Amino acid sequence: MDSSLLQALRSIVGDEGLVTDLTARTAYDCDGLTLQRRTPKLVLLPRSTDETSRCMRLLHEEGVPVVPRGAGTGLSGGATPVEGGVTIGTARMRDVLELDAASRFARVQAGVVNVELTRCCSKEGLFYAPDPSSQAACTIGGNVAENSGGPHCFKHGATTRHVLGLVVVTPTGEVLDMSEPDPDPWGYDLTGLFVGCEGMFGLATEVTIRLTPSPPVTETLLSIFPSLDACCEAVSDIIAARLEPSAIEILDRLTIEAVEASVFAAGYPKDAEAVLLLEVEGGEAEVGATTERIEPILEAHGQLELRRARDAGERKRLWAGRKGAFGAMGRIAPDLYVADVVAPRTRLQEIVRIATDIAAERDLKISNVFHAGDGNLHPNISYDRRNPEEVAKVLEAGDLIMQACIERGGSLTGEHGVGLEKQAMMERLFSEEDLQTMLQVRAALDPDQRMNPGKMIPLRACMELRTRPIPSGEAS
Amino acid sequence: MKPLLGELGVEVLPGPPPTACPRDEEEVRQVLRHAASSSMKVVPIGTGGRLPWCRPEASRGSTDLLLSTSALDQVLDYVPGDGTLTAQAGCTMAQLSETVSAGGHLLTPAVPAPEQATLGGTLAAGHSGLDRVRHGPVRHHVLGMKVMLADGTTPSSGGKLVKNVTGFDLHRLYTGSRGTLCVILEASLRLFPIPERVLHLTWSADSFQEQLGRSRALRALPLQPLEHLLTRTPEGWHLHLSLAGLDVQVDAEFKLVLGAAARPDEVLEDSEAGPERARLRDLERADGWPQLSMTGRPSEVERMVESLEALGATRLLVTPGVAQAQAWIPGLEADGDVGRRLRFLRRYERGVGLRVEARDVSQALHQELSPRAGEAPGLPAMLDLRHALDPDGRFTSPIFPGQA
Repeated sequence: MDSSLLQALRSIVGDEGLVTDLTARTAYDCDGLTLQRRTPKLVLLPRSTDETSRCMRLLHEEGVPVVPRGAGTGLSGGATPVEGGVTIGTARMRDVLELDAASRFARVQAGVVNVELTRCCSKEGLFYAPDPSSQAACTIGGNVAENSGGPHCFKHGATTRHVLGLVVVTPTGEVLDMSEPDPDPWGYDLTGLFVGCEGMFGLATEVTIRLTPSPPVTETLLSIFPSLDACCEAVSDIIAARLEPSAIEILDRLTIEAVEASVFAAGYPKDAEAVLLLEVEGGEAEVGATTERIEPILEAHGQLELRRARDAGERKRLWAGRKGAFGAMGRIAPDLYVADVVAPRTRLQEIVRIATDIAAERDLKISNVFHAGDGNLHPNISYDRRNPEEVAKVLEAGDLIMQACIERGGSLTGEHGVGLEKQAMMERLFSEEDLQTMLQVRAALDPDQRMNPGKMIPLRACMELRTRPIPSGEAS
Repeated sequence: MKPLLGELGVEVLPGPPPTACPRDEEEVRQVLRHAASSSMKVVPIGTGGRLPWCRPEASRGSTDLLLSTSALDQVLDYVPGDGTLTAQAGCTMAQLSETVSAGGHLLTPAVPAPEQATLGGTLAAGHSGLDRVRHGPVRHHVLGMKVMLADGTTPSSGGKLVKNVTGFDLHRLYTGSRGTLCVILEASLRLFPIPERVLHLTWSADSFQEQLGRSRALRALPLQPLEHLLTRTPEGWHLHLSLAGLDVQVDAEFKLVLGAAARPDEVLEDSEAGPERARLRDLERADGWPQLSMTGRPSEVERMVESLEALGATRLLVTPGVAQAQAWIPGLEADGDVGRRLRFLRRYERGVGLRVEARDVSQALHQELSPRAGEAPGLPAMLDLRHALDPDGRFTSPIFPGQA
């Protein structure tokens, strides 16, 4: 890094906002996709939109690539550093700038942690609906970049439905203040376009968030099944009956075993082949009537037992098991490949079977925990990355599961993003014209392609190179 | 013009401006090729019902060619078990609504005149109905799209799935772009369950303050209304609330309403509620489009209404939860007294976070009210996007987005 540039950046963010030490920088080597690592040239931690803008302007002048980063909890390599690039983290932008309870929105800095937002507005009878499993650590800015989901998105929708406005710093350092929560913003829906862009159009520094009234009554149910197939069929029938719980989650036997052996133990029955975690929200009458209609469906599919959370503590415990499931997998093997595919909701069972077969054929350990109501599957493969042969089999299995989803009308990712992990698969889902149009839009907003380069869209043509996730080891 | 397009076999309705009515994707491409070779400006439309709102210049004949997608009217995919619908742009909203109701689904948005409004026109206009109070704006329900760009290419984005984050959400960009980026060919929408029961409640009063107070009290309750709006007619102010959902839920919500507000002046059950809700839905364009739409924060609704009344609004339609007010203002012209007051108001209100947009007014006033460079923060980016997708300006509008 050029010393005069370093000095100029230091003058903006101060010593606290500059990470130069190699050991400290290695903490930013990767996000949740640990298969790919690269140490960033420099890490900047600005405190405000203004500091971010001034840093971006300098980096633009020097032609330095930029990788935005929230908490680094993403699972697709969206925050993996790039060659010669600087990582800009939002860890020091953690202020809630405005809470307008009457208008039901908050304006926050991008580094505010997801769960903190709900904590700060719960006194007003409001909450922030998208709840990724990593919500205790992930940031609102990261959620915006990835259009994150979570169990309760079945009813409330993913991040994009909750973002009313943004302040974005463009690749050249300009500030686009679109923070006013206009119900129908003038002109093109830039906010909607920006959500889920995986940091490739700019860096969001402030987010205007829609807050949802807390439901008067919440019923949490745990339905226990003798087979995963039956559990999936029950979900398809709940959807077909147009019932609207707020969350419909499935955990299979291997996941249950891992959760129950971990600190996240939730009291799931260890002998069950699958459990269905359901939550129903609303007024008392609505919750009662919806639950009454769900129960016969569960019974018709051979449910062994139905448990109800008796109080908030029990509800919290049931959810802690679900949200801690990925962490609990560490008991099975040191590494976990978290797939994130989407299937049409009428084909859940078929895709789960295919994923199970693909893993079995390769002697891999697969567990399933997923947002069944949305058709968003997470077949998780446990492995050891020190075993290159096993790593190769894991990547092959991941590709085959994604391919099976595409062939059945599904998609590559429901909430984790494309990043590096699924980049090569994009050509199987989208045509040349589709991808070219995405590139044209990208080029309009980032002509030099310095924002998170080499992510999401397969690298093609003369100016770009095709890549694939590196099977093992470090990228540099 | 007509003979040339006629030679291509594309039906053309006489103008001015003439309207090409391609029957399939290839004919849409032929029309665009023809327009490119003749350096013509093209305005994509459905049936053109929203032109006075979206493209006033075209509605007054100031374009070379209208391209109607109304003949692309096939429902491509409806899977009740998935709760999604994919259809060509020319399908009317009534046609689609009927299709999905057979499977127990509700189509949103509930736009005015659904027998004429097409899917493509609704999405291009970004037109959300009164049911956005419950279901949110139309842009939230578009799962994917296939469009044709000016160069004849047909990129898709998104898909047919209720949850999907693969690739950029270009369908969000196209929704509400008012035909200035592309021709919408197909779209997929998320569907909702048809409510088991609807109860439509109306309160009437002379005072706006009284109705707003009642509206706020109702908004504080844990209700999930389909519609919640205020209308002003010569007879006074009316507060309308549609409770909808499971039978027992509607009963319980009605009890809550009675506990928080006086008994409604009118209570209409399901079949009776339908015509009244349709009347309200169509109110927006009963006499053409509203002439002014103001948006802000829900906490600013009172000031919005005061501003619109000061401008001489004769009728108002206010959705307090969305913070949107639509007004009919006689004599709204660029060089008139109301126009001058509106320009002043616009400068003042922008400073305090409100936004006004004129609909179905003269092109001069419409253009004058569009943000200039420096006023709309995203304007340069919008112009860059437009240039990227339509470099020759085939779909250019002098009004939307505004000129830098």
